[in-house]
Amino acid sequence: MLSYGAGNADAFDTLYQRHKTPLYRFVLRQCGQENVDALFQDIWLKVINARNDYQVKAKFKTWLYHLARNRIIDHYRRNSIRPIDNHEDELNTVADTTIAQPEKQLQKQNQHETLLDAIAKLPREQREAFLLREEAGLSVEQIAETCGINFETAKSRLRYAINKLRQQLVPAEEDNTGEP
Amino acid sequence: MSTDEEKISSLYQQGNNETPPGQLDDAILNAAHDAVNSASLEHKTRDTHAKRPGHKHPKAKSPFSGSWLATVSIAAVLIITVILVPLMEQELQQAPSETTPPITGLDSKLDTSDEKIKLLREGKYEQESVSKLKSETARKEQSQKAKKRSLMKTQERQSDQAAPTATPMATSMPALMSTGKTASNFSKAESDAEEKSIVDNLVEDAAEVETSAVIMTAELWLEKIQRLIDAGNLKLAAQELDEFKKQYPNEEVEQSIIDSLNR
Repeated sequence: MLSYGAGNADAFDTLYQRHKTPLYRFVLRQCGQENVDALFQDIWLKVINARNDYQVKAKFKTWLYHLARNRIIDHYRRNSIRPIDNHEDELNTVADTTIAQPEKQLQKQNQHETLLDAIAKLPREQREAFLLREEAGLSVEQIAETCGINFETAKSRLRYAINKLRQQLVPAEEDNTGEP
Repeated sequence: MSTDEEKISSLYQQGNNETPPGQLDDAILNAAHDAVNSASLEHKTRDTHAKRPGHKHPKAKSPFSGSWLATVSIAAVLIITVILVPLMEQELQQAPSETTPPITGLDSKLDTSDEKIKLLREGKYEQESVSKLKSETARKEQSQKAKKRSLMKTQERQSDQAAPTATPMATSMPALMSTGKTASNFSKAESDAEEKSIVDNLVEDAAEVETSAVIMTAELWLEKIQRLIDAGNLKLAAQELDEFKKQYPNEEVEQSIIDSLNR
C-alpha cells in the first residue's frame, strides 16, 4: 500500500489480486448479491483515495476489513436495515423451517447451501466474526482489532456463531442421511 | 480449533467459489491506475510550470508572501524616513536664505529697518525692493501728513467750540462757580487740556515717525548707492543718485559718493 501511495500502480494490482476474492465474499455474505458489486467497488475506491494518507499502524488486511466493515454498517444505516440481534429466535426459525420442510430442503440445498443460509441468518456481529475468520483468515486478536472490540468479546462472538451453525447443520445432515 | 469448527470451516470453503466479476475488476484497477497517473501528471505539470523561466510560484503572487520582499520594503521605508526626510527639511530651511524672496513678502516680514539694512549689506536687497520701499515710504508720508492735517483740524474745531462755551459760563453763572458747583467745569477744562496734550503728543509722534522714516529711507538709499559704487557699477549708482536727489532734494549726500561718481 505504501508503494502504491508512492505512485507504483502495479503494487495495487498485487494487493487487489491478493484480497479481492475473500473481501468480495465477505461483503456478499453480509449484504447480498444485489448490493455486493457496488459496495465492493466503493470499498476499493476508498482504498485508492486513502493511498496518500495511509499509515502503517496494523496489517493491511486488518485495515482493509475495518474499512469494509464500516462501509457495510453505513450501508445498513442508509437502508434502515436492522441487523438481527435476537439470534435465539432466528435460529429457532431457521431450525423450524428446516424441520418443517425436510424433504424440500433435502432436494433444494446441499450442506453448503444450508451452511450459507445459516450464516446469513446469524446475528450481524457473529456473522462478521465468522466471516472475518473464514474469509480474511484473521485471528481472534485481529478480529477484535478490526471490529474495535476486546479479545474476549471477539472470541465469544466467534464461539456463538460456530455453535449456532453446528446446530443448524445437524438437522440437515440427519435429513440428508435419512436418519431420524 | 475443535472438530466441529474444522468441519464447518471445510464445509464453508468447499463450495465457496464466488469471485468479483471481471468488469468490476477492470473498473477498480483502472480507477487505481488513473488515480496514480493523474497524480503524477499533475505533479509533472507543476514541476514543468515551476521550471519554466519566468514562472512565479503561486505564493509569490502576494506582495508580502516572500520574507525578503517584506524586509526590503521595510528597509526602503526606513531609509527614506531616516535619511531623506531630514535632508529635505534641511534643504527647505536653507532655501529661504539662498533665494530672493518675493518683495511684498519680504517687506511684510521686515518690521524693523535694521533688518533691511542687514539685508542690504548682504547684497540681497535689489534695486526693485529699494524702489518699492521708496514708494511705500512716500505713501506712509502722505498718510501721515493727512493724519496730521486731520488732527490739526480737530484740534482747531475743539478750541473753537471751547471758546464760546467758556465765556457764557464765566459771565452768566458766576454764582454757580462761587457755590462750589465749579468742580465739573474744572474737570471739563482739565479733560480738554488732557485731550489737547494727547493730540499734541500724537502730532509730535507722527512727525518723528515721518522724519525717521525719511531719514532711514534716505540712509538706506545712500548706502545702496555706496554699495553700487563699491561694486564698480558707477552708471547705476549715478542713476540712483539722480533719483535720490529728485526724491530727497534737501537731503545731504556724502561728498565721497559725489567724488567717486564724478571721477
